[in-house]
Amino acid sequence: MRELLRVKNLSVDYIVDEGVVKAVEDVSFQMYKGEKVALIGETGCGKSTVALAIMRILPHNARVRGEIIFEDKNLLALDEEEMRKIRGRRISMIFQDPFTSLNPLLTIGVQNTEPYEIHLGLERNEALERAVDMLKKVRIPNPEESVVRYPHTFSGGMRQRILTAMMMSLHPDLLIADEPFSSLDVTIQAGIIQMLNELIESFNSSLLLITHDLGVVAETCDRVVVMYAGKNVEIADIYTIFENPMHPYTKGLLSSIPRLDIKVERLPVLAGSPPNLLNPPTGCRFHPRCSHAMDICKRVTPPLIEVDKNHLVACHLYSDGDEYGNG
Amino acid sequence: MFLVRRAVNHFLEKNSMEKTGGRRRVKHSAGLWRLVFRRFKRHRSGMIGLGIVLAMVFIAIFAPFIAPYPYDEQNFSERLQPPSLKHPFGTDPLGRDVFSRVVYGSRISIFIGLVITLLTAVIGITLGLIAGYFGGIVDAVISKVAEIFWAFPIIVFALAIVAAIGPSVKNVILVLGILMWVSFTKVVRAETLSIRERMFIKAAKVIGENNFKIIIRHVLPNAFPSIIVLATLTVPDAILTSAALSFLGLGVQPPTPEWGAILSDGRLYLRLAPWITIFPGIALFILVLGFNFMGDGLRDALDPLMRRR
Repeated sequence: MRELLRVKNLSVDYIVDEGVVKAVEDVSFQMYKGEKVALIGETGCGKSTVALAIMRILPHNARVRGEIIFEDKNLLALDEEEMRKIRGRRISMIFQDPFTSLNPLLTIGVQNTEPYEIHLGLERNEALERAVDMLKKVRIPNPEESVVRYPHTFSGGMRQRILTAMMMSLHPDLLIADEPFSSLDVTIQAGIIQMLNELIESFNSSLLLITHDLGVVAETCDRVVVMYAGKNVEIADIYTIFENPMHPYTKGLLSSIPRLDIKVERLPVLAGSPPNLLNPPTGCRFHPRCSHAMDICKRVTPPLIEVDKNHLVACHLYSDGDEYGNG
Repeated sequence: MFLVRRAVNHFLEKNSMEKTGGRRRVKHSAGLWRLVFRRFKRHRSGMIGLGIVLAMVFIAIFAPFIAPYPYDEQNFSERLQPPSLKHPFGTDPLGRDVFSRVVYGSRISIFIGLVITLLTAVIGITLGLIAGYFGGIVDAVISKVAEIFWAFPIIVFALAIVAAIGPSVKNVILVLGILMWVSFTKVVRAETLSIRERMFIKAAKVIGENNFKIIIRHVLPNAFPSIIVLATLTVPDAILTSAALSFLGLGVQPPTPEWGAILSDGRLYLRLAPWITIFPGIALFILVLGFNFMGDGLRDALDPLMRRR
């Protein structure tokens, strides 16, 4: 499989009044063409920051280090003009909140033709034709009539479909979906997930799905990147993650999913809450909440090591080297 | 926040349905502006304000047909006449018909008000958009300069400049245009700061839109409700300020009839012929009131648009 995206030692700091928030630290993973990868973790663990860093639309107070190699270009080294040519055409992104993702003052037709006008320089009519085509693919009823309507006349689910149509207009190689389903009703979710899956497959695109919904992950993705407090703690394919999770955090996450086949009195929960990233714990950032925490965990940051083929874990339980992690 | 947004969305939806008659889905959905217009129509003082402004504009346009005499026709045999059928607003020390002068004066006042507002809006909106959208040093510089202008009493500043470059309509417009942009910059900057954070701006970036187009297509239109309200409130402000300059002799020069200037002329005869001062004063008062009422009405009508974030 051809590699599409490689994130290498990505770190993002946010400069705020109180100091420096280490939102993402030393995150590395790669994606192959046509692959669907899930980026999971709790709220505030830096998932969305990774996505914004790939799109290069981080807020002004962010400082980025590392490399993001897309095909053979380092996105972080491109100038703004080159980056604009990639956005929307090669890499695209949909967001969590379908209610504010569309401009309330422009009709759907005006908004969904923009990608064609920006990147292909198409004429109004031709762009409109193709936008209507796209709306058909995301199953908007009466797309020809929809293009003269304003966003507020559509429901949340419909708006998410419209946004998806806009973002997929030019068949991007990579679609980043930042919790695209979490603000929708469960019944609507299922339909949209299916639609998104079909769209991605028919366009031969890759998907980076950012979510905390493990059910959606199991249904959709090929591989999972688990993040905790700005670091990636485990990377494995979907079967390995669910069958044989190794990092204590991943185990904790999975054991808190309600299951039909095991009867329990109460669902186990991960004790404690995610750390404040202004002042993260030393060593392994998970150690204050970890039931297996050892002395070394407080001092040394565990490196991401390959414990099995394509199964990477950052945990001292599995590193048999010296205490500096040079195993 | 979410609840408010839902409520507003619901409201908007209901209204756009209403128009096409219940269940049938809209073919061309009612634009937001049509909705605003409907709300404005129900606003009583707003409609009164609009009526006043339209009447004044009508008078200004058709001044030659409404005024019984040319504004500069002197008739020494009828100096300082009190109001009568022949001269509804009386006459001034040169025997000129005050009514005719007030009618013609509406032209100058409205013209000056509109042009100054246009000029300040263009300067202020541009700077506000740039400061709010790009932030950082650009914002710091623009905001500090705005603060400096804000801290200065406009009238004093304007007096000094007009005195230096010479009084004329053109100079009054130029000077006030250059001095009064600050309120636009402040409002537009604040709006831009909040609009910039909304998701559809991010979405526009994601599809590769450039900054210029994002500002023009996405930020500016969403700031429009506030801009319109501010503009309708800037017009009377500009009219009053320019009238004050004329009153002080640094604005419009005789014999051009301008309300502030007529007021000033009548000052010396205040006890002998108060009508010279009273009538242009009333005209000024009514026009300014009209614009303010209209601005109020617009603000209320645009409220759901401004609240929706």
